[in-house]
Amino acid sequence: MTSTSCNPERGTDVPKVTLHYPNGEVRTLSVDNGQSVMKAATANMVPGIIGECGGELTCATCHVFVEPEWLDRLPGQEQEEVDMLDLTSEEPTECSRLSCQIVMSPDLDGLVVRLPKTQR
Amino acid sequence: MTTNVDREVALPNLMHASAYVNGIPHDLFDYIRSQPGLFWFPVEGPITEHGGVWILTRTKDIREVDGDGERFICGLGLLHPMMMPMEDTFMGDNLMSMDGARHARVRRVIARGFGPRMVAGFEPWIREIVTETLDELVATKGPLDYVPAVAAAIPSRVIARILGVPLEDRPFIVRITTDLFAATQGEAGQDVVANLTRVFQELFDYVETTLMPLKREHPGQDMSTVITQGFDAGEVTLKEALFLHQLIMNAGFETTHTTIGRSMWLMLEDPEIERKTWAALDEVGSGLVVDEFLRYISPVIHFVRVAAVETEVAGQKIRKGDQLAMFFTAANRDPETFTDPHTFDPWRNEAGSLTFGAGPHRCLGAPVARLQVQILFEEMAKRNIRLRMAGEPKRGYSNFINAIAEIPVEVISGS
Repeated sequence: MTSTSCNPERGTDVPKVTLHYPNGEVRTLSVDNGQSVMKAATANMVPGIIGECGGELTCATCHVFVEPEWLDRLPGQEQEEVDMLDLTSEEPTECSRLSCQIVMSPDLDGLVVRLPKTQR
Repeated sequence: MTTNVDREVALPNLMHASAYVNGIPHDLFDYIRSQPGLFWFPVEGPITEHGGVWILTRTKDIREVDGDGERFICGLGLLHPMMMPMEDTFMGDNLMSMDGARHARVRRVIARGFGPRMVAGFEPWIREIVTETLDELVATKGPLDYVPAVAAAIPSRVIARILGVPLEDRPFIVRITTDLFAATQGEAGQDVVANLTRVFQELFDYVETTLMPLKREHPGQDMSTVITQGFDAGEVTLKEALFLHQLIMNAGFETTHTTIGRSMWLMLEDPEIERKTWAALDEVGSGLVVDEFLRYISPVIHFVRVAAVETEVAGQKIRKGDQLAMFFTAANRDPETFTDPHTFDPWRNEAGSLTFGAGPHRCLGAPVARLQVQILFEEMAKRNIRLRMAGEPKRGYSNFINAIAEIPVEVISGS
């Protein structure tokens, strides 16, 4: 079988992100390389990430807390993202990022993030 | 192409205010929603490029269109009859008419003032405004009009405070807010554009020559300071800054005023709605009650988007330039999203309301609007304020706001 969409093995080389929910639930999300965590989450209707503005950096509803060991490996922050983190529903911490700005790459496979209780 | 020849109901012009003078035609929207795909509504004249509009009534379809600012844009018009490149009109510098990077740049400037944690801090002073308004209400002997007394008074006072208008100028801002609203409510034949332009000019003169210089000298925790600093930092042009003031006044007023007015009207005309409201306030609190009123009332009837590319929605081929009218009021009665959608049920806890839209243009002021109406209901319950209808209420005249003009009432109890 060569068709990517039908290949049951396809999932193995697509990077994975682990989402920890405030209620203790844990989910795994496949995110294609080059795709943002927010886009993958909303495309798969994963709860907890809204991404209202579609990635324009105007809504702050895709807030996540990145596990500290992953922080340095993430793409850098634009000033707009820093500004928008002031507007999250839950108080941000040093580990806060907007998941629309976390674009997947092979070295982010296995990324672990925690979700806030509310996004707005 | 869908044709409407088999329809059993005569359609009023859904894009025109005359269709809403007696209320929202929900039976019509139910019929349209029951048809497969999208519903083509012919419109005569040069308002549309292809001789009609797609009518969207389902939550899913509206979410898709409103959520995709690349395929479906605002820059070619949002409402009939003004469907044209917005850049060429007096609304070209209004955030709601912008798309893409320009929209994001301008929106970020005011988004700063409306973050959920910031809005939560508005609670004490909004409660003061509500308390003062209710004090005036219960002190009034005999019949009064609930619209100016409460429905308009609360949001206009809240807006003046959010903008950071000095106390002595607040009556001016309250008047401009109501004038702006009145100008959008032109009866057939009135020149809406001329009326709006005149009120805009009066507002812009005040903002540019009085308010912005004041905010430079005495910056405050308010939106005018945020906008003025955004302008001084080169993030927005002067026109964009002036229109942001106008947007806060218009958008923050019309919808909240409608929600406060219409919720009282519904309670006074339907004892079952009144009974459920007071009971649910007691049992589940003001959040769910207000969310249900917002769903049931849907202050914004619809907005239009224009397809920027050839595409498909709900299996229907959409041509570039096609107009899509997103009827939020119909989506909020979509049985796929809400159980028993035409029943007012403040205990329902179903997500998916499109009252505030979805996507890049979703209402920025949503948390402020909810908070005002919540506090109003909490205070009325606490003070046991009860009213009765004292005449014939009147609807407003608009094709996009579920507008209320007059609600004659009398206070029968409360302190």
